[in-house]
Amino acid sequence: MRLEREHWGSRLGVILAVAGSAVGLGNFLRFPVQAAKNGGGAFIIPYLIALLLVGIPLCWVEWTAGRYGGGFGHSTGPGVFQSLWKKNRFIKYFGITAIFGPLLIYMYYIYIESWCLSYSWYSLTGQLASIPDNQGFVNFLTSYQGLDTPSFLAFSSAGLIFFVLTFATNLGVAYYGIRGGIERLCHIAMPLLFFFGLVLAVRVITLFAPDPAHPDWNSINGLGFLWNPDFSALKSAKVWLAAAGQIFFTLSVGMGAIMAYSSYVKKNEDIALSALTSASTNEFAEVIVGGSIIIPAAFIFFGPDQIVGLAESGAFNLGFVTMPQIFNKIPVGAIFGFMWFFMLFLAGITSSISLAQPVIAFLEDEFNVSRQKAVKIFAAVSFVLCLPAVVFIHRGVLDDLDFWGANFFIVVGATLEIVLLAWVFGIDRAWDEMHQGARLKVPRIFKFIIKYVTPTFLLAILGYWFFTDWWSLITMKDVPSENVPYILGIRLLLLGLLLLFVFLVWKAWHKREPGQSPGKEAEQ
Amino acid sequence: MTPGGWIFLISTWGLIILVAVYCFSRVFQNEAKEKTGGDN
Repeated sequence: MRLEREHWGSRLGVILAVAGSAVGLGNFLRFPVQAAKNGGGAFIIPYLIALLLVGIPLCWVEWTAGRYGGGFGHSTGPGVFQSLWKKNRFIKYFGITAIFGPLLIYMYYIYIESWCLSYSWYSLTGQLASIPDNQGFVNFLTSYQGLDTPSFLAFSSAGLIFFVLTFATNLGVAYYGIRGGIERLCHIAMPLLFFFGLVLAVRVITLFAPDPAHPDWNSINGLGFLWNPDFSALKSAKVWLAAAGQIFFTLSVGMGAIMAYSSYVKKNEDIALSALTSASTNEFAEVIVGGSIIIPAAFIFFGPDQIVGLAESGAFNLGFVTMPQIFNKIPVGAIFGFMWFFMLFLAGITSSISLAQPVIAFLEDEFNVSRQKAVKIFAAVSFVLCLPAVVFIHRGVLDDLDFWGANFFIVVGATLEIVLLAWVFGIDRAWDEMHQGARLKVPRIFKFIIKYVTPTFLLAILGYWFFTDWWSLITMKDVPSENVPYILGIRLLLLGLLLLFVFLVWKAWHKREPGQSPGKEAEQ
Repeated sequence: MTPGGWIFLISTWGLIILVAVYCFSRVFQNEAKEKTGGDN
């Protein structure tokens, strides 16, 4: 007997869940650093263009593909792709990108998310307040990651405890399903996240110029560092690629998470307005809230000379080393520190839960196992898979997973999705499907953009990558020699995983009788 | 902050807030209509 398919409890529920998937650590850490490094206010021009030509069209595509596949009882790439191109026996294997990509990101994202939880705890308990200077914070972070003493495995007991706690929380939410777990979490976490974010943004802006010796180190000039346009930066292809990359990263498109979520939307319910609403929620969190905290705060306390170096030092350094120092300098900094790190944790958990969903849904849909059983299987397997990013962080394993998961597979996945929907399924059918039950009439220009502009853009990015980076990445040219065995090991593990998914897809379709459409009973 | 910076900040923030408010008002409006049975 086929298990009954879940649905979202309300339209707001699915909007908040998709927005939660999109609003992640990158909104508050990655965006401001990218903007500061790539032309300030002028970065917004390619950013908005990429949002219009790539980001929003891909949101509509993924919501449409997901809801269509959900109508046949499929939430994930293999089943959704097969639904879109029924005559092709091999297309389901390409859909593996929409399960494999999010799993890869999950393998390291949980660990970073656990840092946020632990730092929010350390803020509340006053441990961060007792650290005197920059070097102290650097030492604290390296000790937390287990990098302070040379060893084969890098971990600390505190790091492991918070990792397990974060891992268990994610699975606890997943266990209670779409409505009882994910939707309920997002109903609480998203408003709380925005509340903390807005309080922090207002606090930073109302700091004005706390150091009388440097009246120009003020919050307005801090915002200016991010927003003053440097138009010469627009001549650089790197800036345009950085903006497109940020849009991809921030909207969670191409990874299969939105597809999985939208598959639980009923056939006649709106997706056009919901997709735009969740995308605009994400942009509010990123550009307005995210852009008003980290860079302006760092500018106010470290000044224009050091801010460039801080931005160059990377998002994690700013978030986990620079920000705690700033909280130590302001009244009730422990509370603001807690808010900052807990906000990051909330942003993280609403994203990581969406990364877990495709694998769990794949087991549910294609092997007809219960939600609870699927979560237990996922828990056992993913715990082991997450460990390399924890214990081999000093060997570049986390960075390698980040490249394959958050860069390579999402671009490949997005390209496959849009080509399949706009060209194979057909743009006219896709347009009609998107507008079924729609509460928003999408401007017709997007029909042209979805069919021609977005796929061209994606193919250009993939082509550029193959042309410039492919060989050096495969041959690990830029990997330090002592890390090569570890990177090779993780890549072999990923290859094995990929083959396992190929086998599982083959098994899922093979065990059905010829001609039987998987999940057909669930067709609405 | 330069005048250019202000222009970029205000126009970008304004655009994002406008779209978000429009979308959410439409979502809530539709939900209210559906609850009272006034839509279909």
